[in-house]
Amino acid sequence: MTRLRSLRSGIFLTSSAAAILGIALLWTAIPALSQGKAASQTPRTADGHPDFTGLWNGAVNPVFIKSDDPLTSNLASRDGSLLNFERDFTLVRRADQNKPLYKPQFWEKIQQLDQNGNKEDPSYGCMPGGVPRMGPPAKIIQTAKEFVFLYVSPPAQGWGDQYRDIPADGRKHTPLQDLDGTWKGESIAHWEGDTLVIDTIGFNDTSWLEINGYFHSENMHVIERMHRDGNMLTWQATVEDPDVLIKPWTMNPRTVILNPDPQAELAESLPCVEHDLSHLVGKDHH
Amino acid sequence: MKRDILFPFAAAAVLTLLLPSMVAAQQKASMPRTSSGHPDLNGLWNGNTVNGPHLASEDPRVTNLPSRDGSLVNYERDGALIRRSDTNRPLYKPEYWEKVQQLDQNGNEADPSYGCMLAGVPRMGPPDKIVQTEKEIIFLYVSPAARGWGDQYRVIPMDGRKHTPLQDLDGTWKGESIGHWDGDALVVDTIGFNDTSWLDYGGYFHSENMHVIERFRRDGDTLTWQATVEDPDVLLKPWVMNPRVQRLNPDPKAMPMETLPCVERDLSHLVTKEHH
Repeated sequence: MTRLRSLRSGIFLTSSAAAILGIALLWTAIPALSQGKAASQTPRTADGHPDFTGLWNGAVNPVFIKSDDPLTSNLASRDGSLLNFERDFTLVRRADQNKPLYKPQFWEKIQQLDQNGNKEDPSYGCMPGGVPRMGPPAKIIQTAKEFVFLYVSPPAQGWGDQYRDIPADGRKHTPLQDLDGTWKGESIAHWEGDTLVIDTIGFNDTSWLEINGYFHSENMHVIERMHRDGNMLTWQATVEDPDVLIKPWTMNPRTVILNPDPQAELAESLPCVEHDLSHLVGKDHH
Repeated sequence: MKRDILFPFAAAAVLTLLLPSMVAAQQKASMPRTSSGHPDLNGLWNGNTVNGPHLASEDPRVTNLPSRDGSLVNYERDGALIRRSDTNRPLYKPEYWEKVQQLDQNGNEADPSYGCMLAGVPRMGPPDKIVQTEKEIIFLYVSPAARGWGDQYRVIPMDGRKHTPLQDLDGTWKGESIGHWDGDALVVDTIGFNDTSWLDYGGYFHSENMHVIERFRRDGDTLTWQATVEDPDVLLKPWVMNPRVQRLNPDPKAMPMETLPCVERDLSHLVTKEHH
């Protein structure tokens, strides 16, 4: 304010009305410009929270690994070819050091499930992915009271179009013993600063956390955290399951990109056809 | 004297002035609206009203149904009887009459919904939940547990866009839906279907050129859905399906329940041709 006043008095000394107008316009325009830039980076809703509404169907971290990663030498077909894509994918997954740490009495069970994954994996029998395996949504609709997450399934897995309807009205969880265990559980959202936190309990014990035989109990508790930075949305889930895990498992973060086309719509998932299962001849599981 | 004569007129005039606003206020109370003035369709519409498979006791068809007295015995066969006695049927071209009959008689195997396939539009009917924003309307569906079509959703853009040319669309179960307001009615216009889904039980197949127009109207806490099916390839005239009425769930915290996944291997265990 002091600077503004001295600036104005300086301008008055030049006695140029045009200069006054010009500087005044500039003065008001600079903060407006910088605000506009910030708003375009992370839009906010009327209640001040980051706006997650949009079609988030561009992925920035698919299974491919960078060419400077030492893993690349293990993967003969990295040069843009789809040859052996699925087996490469399995190798990349198995080389990932971020694994859930199960109690020793479950180590053999995990190995059995993993080795027979082509039959044991519920998603191979057209079952849903469930939380947290279904990952970040492809589309989000945000209102003041709730979030709707829409999912498009990978055609090969064919879990069908799934949705989650997540209240953000400050409610508490239903007591666990009153919940029927389901694939998606009971999810409730709240804000921690600019991070959306989704807390879920009330699961069945059928779904897997991931592809490698990572089962869980009905007492699993999943916390998903989502953060928007400009046109990128980062999702990360933490799995607490003291019945079977030695410590909570923080899954790898996944980042999705906003679809810039305002008219783009989700493609319909192909329905899953279960009788493929009986035609499998190897134990390949990808 | 002058006052006595004028008073009724004055009273009538005041009433005439007041009446429209009173009526409007009443309508406004019974019809919540969004900030843009359109009917507010937001909510969990999962209470069925009058048109489940049950018949009112005074309906003459009740005499055909020995188990109407609150018992579930024969419930599914009764449901099939009620469906078959419905006179509102799509009128197919004569060359398809035999096909429809064949599909119907083998419905337990021919009906795509018996093989865990999706119902599609219009068979999926009115949604269980609606989330309405300025630019789009989201329909969330909860499948009947016995059929297990999975949790389905539809995204209906309301931004005034036009349909993609039909030949550029991959035929799908839900097609390409676009919504617009016709007064207080929401109209959802859909093209771009596959030819796998059925319109309803009864072998009611359709072509890829099907055009479905759904109309939604809110009256207080009820929502009426009605679909019209145009398919000149196979139908002699458009079929206006029976309206279905949903009731708003009064519990603001109620959520749609998760659907049980469909298990397809049930199909090989069927021993009769019953289809319900």
